[in-house]
Amino acid sequence: MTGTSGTGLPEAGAPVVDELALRRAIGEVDAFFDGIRAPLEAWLPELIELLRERLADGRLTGAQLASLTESGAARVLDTIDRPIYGAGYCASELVVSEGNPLAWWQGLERNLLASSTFGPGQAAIDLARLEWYRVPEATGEFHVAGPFVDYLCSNEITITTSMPVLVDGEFWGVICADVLISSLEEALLPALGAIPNATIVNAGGRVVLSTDPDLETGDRTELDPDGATAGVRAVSKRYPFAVAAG
Amino acid sequence: MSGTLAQLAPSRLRTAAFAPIGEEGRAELVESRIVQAISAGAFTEGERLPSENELSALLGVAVVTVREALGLLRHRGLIETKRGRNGGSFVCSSHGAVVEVNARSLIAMPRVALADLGVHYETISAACAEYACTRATAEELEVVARILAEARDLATAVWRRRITEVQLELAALSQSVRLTNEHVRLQAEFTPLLSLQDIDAAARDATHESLAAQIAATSRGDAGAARAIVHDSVRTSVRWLAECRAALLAAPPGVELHATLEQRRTER
Repeated sequence: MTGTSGTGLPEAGAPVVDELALRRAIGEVDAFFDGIRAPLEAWLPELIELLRERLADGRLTGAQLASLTESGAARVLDTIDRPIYGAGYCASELVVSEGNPLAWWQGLERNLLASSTFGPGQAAIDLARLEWYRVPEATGEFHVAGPFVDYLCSNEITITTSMPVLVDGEFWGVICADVLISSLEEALLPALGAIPNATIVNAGGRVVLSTDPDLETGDRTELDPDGATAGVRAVSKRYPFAVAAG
Repeated sequence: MSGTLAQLAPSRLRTAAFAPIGEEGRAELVESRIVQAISAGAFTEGERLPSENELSALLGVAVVTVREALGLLRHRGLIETKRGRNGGSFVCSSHGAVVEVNARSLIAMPRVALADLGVHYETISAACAEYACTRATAEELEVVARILAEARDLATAVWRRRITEVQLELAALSQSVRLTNEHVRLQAEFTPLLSLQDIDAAARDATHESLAAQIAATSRGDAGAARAIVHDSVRTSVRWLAECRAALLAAPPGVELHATLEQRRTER
């Protein structure tokens, strides 16, 4: 700790930033998202096997995709200890030939996303504009997108965790799980609470959560080119988040 | 003095609080929702609508209300119903039929209401643009700019869909759910009318350039410029629509609606 006087109290005007507290906070962030990633990892091999089998007879319609995906998505939603709001599979055109490629269940009632019940020809969602689809498609890697306004699915500020479905080098789409920021607040604000003016930011510098009264979810903070900020920070090694203070 | 307040006629707020939750006109509400969706290009030609029971569940109205609404849509020539095994209601939204529905909506709307819709839409869009200036990332704006650029030379109906998606995406970059929801509602009302301009290549180009300029201003963080661009674009569209409306109303009886619209066509 810097700036303490002989009494152990901070000197007037000297910032006191507890690096240990920051590392503990990022540890909580990591533990939270580990619990979101795990059910997706568990689902993936099962889904791939189901798809391989069905695709032997040709590509699927959106409706067929929904019935194939339903129980796997339900199991992700069943995850205890994590507030998973929505889950499902967005298939690439290698898998779905017509209809809605997004098989998605969400909410307390686990409703199938309404557009999925429409017949073939539903005006195609342009998947290129969706970060949770576009990035895993480009990188072949797991990604966490958000916070963002999820007008397609939850209609709330959301963080979408997505895992690419890669089969024999082919991209078959992504499986995802949604967490609402409102739920994340409950889970993570306590971890931040001990640290004055602490902020969780994503890799783009967007505020996820903050105890700084001047910052709200969605605000943009400035990052140096090499990712350092003026304040002290702890960066997650597994997820695109950092905790900064001051 | 405070006693006299209690004796005033009920305020508008109180009246609004206790206004009946419309049982009447529900079929028309369902009808206009589907008309808007059809004319905004949400369905493709020949697409099957969900069944009456499915629609009833989705929309939260009685099946008999759905049936009435489908009857109204059939009357307008926007859907056909087939019986039998592969039966159901199918969207027969030829471009011409959709344009006619939209033109009739424009004629039926008082000019003052058209202008006010423009004011409402502009205000929400401009507010979203201002927030996006301080909240959007360079990467997000690059993605939207690319989608816009790739849409430029698409067929008109597809171009309009892409433009509508770009406008929605830009609104969402405000990071506000409330503003985005409001934008969606207003787009549903306004887009069918805005799309009447698409016969005029100069108007399409102006809309396209305006969006590109809005994205550029947002990238620079210039909220004042972004707001001004939104304002000018909406006003231009309202002016185009007001002129079109006047022409449609002034057309001599017997002159077909499409002929009047054709006069507004320009090509590149």
